[in-house]
Amino acid sequence: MQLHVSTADGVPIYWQIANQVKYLVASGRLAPGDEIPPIRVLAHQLLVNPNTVARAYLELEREGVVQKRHGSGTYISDTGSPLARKERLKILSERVDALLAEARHLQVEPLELMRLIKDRSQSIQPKEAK
Amino acid sequence: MHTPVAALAWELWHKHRTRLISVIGLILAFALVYPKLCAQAGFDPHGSNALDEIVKKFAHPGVSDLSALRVLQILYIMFLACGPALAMILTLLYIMWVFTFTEFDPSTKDPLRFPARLFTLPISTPFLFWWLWLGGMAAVAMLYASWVYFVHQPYLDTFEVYQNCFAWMTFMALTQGIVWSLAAWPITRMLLLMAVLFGLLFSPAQRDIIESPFVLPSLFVLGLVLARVGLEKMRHGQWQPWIWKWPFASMSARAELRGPKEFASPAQAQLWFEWRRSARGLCFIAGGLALIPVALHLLVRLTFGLGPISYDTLFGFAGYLVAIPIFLHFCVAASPARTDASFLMLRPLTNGQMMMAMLKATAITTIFLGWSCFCRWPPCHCWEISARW
Amino acid sequence: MNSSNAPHAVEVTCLSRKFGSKLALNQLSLQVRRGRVFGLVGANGAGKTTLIKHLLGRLKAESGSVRVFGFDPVAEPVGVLSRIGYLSENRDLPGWMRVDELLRYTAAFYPNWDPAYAEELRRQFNLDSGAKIKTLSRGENAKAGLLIALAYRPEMLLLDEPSSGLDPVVRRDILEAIIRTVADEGRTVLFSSHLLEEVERVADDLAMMFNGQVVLAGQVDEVKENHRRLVFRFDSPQSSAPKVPGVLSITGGGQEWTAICNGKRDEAVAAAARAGGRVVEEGPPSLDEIFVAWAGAKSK
Repeated sequence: MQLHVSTADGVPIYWQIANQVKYLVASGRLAPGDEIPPIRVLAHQLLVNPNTVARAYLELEREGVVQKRHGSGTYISDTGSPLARKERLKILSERVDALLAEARHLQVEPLELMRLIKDRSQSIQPKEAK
Repeated sequence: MHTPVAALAWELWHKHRTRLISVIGLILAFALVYPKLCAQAGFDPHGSNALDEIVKKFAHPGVSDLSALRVLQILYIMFLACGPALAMILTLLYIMWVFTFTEFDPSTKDPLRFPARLFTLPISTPFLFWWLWLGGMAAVAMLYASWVYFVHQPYLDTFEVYQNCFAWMTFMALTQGIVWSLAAWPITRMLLLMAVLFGLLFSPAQRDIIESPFVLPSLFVLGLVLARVGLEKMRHGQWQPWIWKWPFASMSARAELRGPKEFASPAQAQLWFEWRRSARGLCFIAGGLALIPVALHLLVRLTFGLGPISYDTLFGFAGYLVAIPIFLHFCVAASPARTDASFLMLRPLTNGQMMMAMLKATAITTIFLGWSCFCRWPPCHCWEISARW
Repeated sequence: MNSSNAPHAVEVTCLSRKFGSKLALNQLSLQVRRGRVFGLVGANGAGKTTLIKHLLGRLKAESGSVRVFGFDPVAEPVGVLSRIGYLSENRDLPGWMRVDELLRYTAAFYPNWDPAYAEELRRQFNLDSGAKIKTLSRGENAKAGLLIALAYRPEMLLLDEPSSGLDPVVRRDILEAIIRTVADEGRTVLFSSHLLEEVERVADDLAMMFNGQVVLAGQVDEVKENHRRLVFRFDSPQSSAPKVPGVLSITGGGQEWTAICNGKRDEAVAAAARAGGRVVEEGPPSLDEIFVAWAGAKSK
């Protein structure tokens, strides 16, 4: 599991870890049932305080993204969980906000933008069908 | 190395390993070779008039020209006479320095810095003190005994006071005391050490001081107490350095400010640089170097009621009072060792100009120093005269 | 050796220290809890090294008290120093010793020394046993100092500017050592740094020092949550920094100005609104920004 934390933007580190794990789950790089590294190992890898990693894991557990199994570590929970879907939409909505801001800056109307999305989606789909 | 005692011993030994072995080698060399050299030169070191014999050999009749061979001959005779004594004194001074456990610190340029890492090891201050103190005393006594019993010292037979082991141990105690308690005042410490060393080396002329039953023991105890307290205070940062405020320094600073705001030429600027950098301070230090031993000497005499300095002694001090400070000052001021070499090298000055500025500053302060030394002469003389009266 | 039952690893109460006419520490009080990583932050000359020297017994408290694991470092140097692993800022290791000699020498002073662990660390730090310390590079020198501070598993690791002048590779090693110390055995770490990036990553608690006083103390998470970065956009370009009460500092130019505030966010927003500015961006500041803001505020 490759994570990257940075202190530049002021975003709390535990939040960055939790967010990135959620993103990895949503994008499929972490499948349900995969084990995520123990707190100590991840703390070593990222060079952050273990308490910070512990807090991130606590958040993830509370939101149902991961599950702790007795004595054998922490695992990603099933995608069927409704919270996971909510997280996926939340991630996408952030991307949409950024896209809308950029479109406004480039003076492209939202309606034109939606047409663009539809066009791109259609041009990508035939490739996937092959 | 399983205990702190052993570890400290190992550290001392390992740090000075080559030099300590050379000391032992030197003693052995003198013990084995020196009697043979003396026999070959026809000079009996055990004789009661050993020194007189040597002096007679100087005045060799018939040979008046100073060829290289003659010079070498004189040097050889001097070596036979004073070599062992000089070697003994130098090795004893060296061993004393070893047991002050100080080293040169390149970052603060302090020549006698006690390593701070010893104070972060889990050892108590009394333990550290007694280890170094007892070790120092044992080392001095052993080294002294080795020199005196294995090598015959013609110089010693005449100047009996150097045969006083207790005098050397007192000097060891005083050295540790001064070096450790004055760690915050490096210049004062250096001056006092020089003064005490001067006292020791010229002690043959001060027989009444050495043989008095009060002087040496008191100095010994003083050294012990200063060392113990000094080490404790050094460890806990309790004696803070404060800057000496030279009254003359502020006067000269004001005089400098009254001058023209700009320097007339690079040469003048460089001269000012040399003056402010070292020449100004150095002449005070060298002057202090002359004054402090005499002052200490007078103090000891006054404290123990031993009477005034004799005229002969004062005359003997003359060379030291006048010549040595000037010589030292010249050496240090004109030395090529420069800490701000990189700063100077960027200035658009030629090497010749820099050298001229340095020599000019040295000359100015040497003349000043010479005058100040001469001015101290009358007060010593007056005290002696008034004491007699 | 049993550790004492003191609740805090370090307890400093109303400590003051003068050097000549300069007041280096001014009625400073501080507590370091056991098992946590404590970051001491401040500009050069704020008094961090002076405080650390008091903890080691290198300076005696002129007024106030210092207790490390319940012991007074001046009265009981052995009790305190045998529980502390110290890495000094100037790395004064004896240059003439070799690395293996340094290990054997230091081992003689600490009964808890673990030779196997020392050897493992030496291999991990990639230090040649036979190399003389004066031939080591700056980074290797720091690692050697860290090695002898870690090998006897001290209850508290005390690091004075551990990363100063070191390249990123060595800095990683030092951070790793800090994390391993607190993760593996629940020991305490106290380190001083002006690299706030590192403090933010590894510290649990922090204290910010300025001119010999602690101006900010608390858990790192809480400190970050209490501060906000606000970007204001004013209706007209401002020629000089607008005065917004409630903010620590404000920088920028023209119409847009960035302010850092400490807990008084609503007050600041209202005051800015009165001056004709509205919030266009808001977020948590990095520790670096917080530190600069406090330094700016305190120097006025």
